[in-house]
Amino acid sequence: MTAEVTIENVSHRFGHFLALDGIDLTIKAGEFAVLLGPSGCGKTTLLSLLGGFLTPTQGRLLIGGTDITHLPPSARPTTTMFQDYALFPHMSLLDNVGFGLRMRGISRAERHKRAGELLELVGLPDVGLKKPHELSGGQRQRVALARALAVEPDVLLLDEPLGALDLKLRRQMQDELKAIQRRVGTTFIHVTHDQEEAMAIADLIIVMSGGQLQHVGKPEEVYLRPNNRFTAAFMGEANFIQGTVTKRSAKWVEVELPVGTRRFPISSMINEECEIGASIEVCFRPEHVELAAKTTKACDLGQAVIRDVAFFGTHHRCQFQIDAHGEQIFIGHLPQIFEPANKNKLHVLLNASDAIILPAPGTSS
Amino acid sequence: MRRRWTDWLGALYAALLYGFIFLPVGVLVLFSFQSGRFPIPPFNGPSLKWYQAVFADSSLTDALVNSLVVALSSSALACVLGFLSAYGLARYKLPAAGFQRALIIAPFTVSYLIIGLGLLITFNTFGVSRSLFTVGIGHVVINTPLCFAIIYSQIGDHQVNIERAARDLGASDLKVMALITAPMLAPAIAASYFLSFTFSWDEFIIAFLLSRFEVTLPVEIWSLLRSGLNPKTNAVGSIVFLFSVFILVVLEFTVFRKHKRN
Repeated sequence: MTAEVTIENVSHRFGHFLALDGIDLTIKAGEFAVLLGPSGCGKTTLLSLLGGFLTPTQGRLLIGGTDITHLPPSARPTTTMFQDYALFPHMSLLDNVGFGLRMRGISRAERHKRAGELLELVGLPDVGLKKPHELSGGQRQRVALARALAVEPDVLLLDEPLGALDLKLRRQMQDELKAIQRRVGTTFIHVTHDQEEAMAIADLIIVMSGGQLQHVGKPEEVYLRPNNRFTAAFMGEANFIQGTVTKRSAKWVEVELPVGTRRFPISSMINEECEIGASIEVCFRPEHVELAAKTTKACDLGQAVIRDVAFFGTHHRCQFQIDAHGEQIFIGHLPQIFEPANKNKLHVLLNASDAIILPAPGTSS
Repeated sequence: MRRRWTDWLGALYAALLYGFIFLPVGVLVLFSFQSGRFPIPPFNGPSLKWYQAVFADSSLTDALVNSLVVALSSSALACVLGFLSAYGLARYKLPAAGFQRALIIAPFTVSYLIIGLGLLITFNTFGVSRSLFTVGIGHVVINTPLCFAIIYSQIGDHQVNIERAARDLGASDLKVMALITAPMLAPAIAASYFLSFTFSWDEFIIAFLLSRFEVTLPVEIWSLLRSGLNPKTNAVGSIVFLFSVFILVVLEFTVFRKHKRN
């Protein structure tokens, strides 16, 4: 059971606070979509609207082409997996998982059979007669997932389901969640503020901020080619250099940076309409910082001074100041084995095709 | 040395305290086994003849049954009303919720005499004759605030998501209340039921004012006492006391134990 979700021009107000501002979004049937953003960005409000716990101030919600905007939660083809799991404490796990089937008038024997199968699907065979308080957090989570899937919803809504788990368990559950989603084929809409979690599980990431969509795209796209500064900074660490467009051709664009004029491939530009003289920002990730030119397309950032180095196992995370940029701190991931030749001096480079060029904040995009 | 001295003083204090509380009960129970005609020293016995007399006295056994019927049914009704009002006030935005809450609890602070008189006058005005039924209504009036207060204190926001999950899975409001909320509050509901039961079981003033031919046990004991002291009253009293102890033990082993585990 699966269906497409369409959100048409949806806004929601809490009193004077505009929590969602004209959201238009389509999530394909069977997709694993992640609503990602900092707290207060409206992601949980959007999920509550889909679940039927809130009614939008404006706009329409459709599932599989049917308008569900004004249906109560029980009449929607959705189920929600709550952040605190919300298991029924007085019922056995079989009864918990079978509750939705019970509400649909299915016989006790049949729903227990089905509940047993679902508990097996989530990796909890032979615990059906236990009560929720006898389980660990991770196990409760699986039961909540089984309970939500038992009624075969078209769309499963997950409200920060992994938030309460420790890091190791969270990574493990991410993999399982994704595997289960592949098996059942249901459209999953998952809310989180953890961008690593989002990238690990999503087919589609929806980055939100201030009640608006910032970027909707595949994980690679959202991380590597964010279409605005917010997304770039939220998806991971990013460095920004202000500059101005001075020249452009069909293949490249020349940008005036504090360190001098540098040339980037035209594909680096997120908004290709940038005219000559436009203020832009060159954005690059710490892992794009290099110490020696590997390609001819390298963009020389000049001499830098190391301010701090920390070892992260896979790399050294280095904070440095580029001479041409004064006080601004840049972050770079330097090799696992790394000895600065000249004490704390560096010569940093950037592969020009790794960087992206965004319109400077404040200019129209 | 000093420590031992204060320990001794503490033990003495505890003995005096428990003695003060339980000596009257002890004396009552002891002299129910008196074989003489008066429940006063010297004790000669033991004998069960006064218990025999109690169970041979149909007015006493009738009263015992009446008390049971009134206590069982009025506590059940008080629990239902208390639960529904607690649920309503906790889950819905009601106009003047604070005032309504105060209004439900108010009978707590009014003396039983006033409530009894008020009900008596009301029943007279509407031509309702006094019976066990009116006594039961009186007990519902005094016990509903108690049930409300106990259950309301246990309804919290932590159950909201659980109820929401049930609704999300297709349960109607009524089913959410019956299958989810009430079972989650079972310890509170049971505690308020048993407390209501004991309050109704030994309540005298309202039962006295609102009953006529069929009376409850406390009223029957009172009329027994008017004809003078008699070990039979001790025997009845002991039975009542035994009953209360039984309920307390049941409460301890079921409701409170469960509460601790959760």
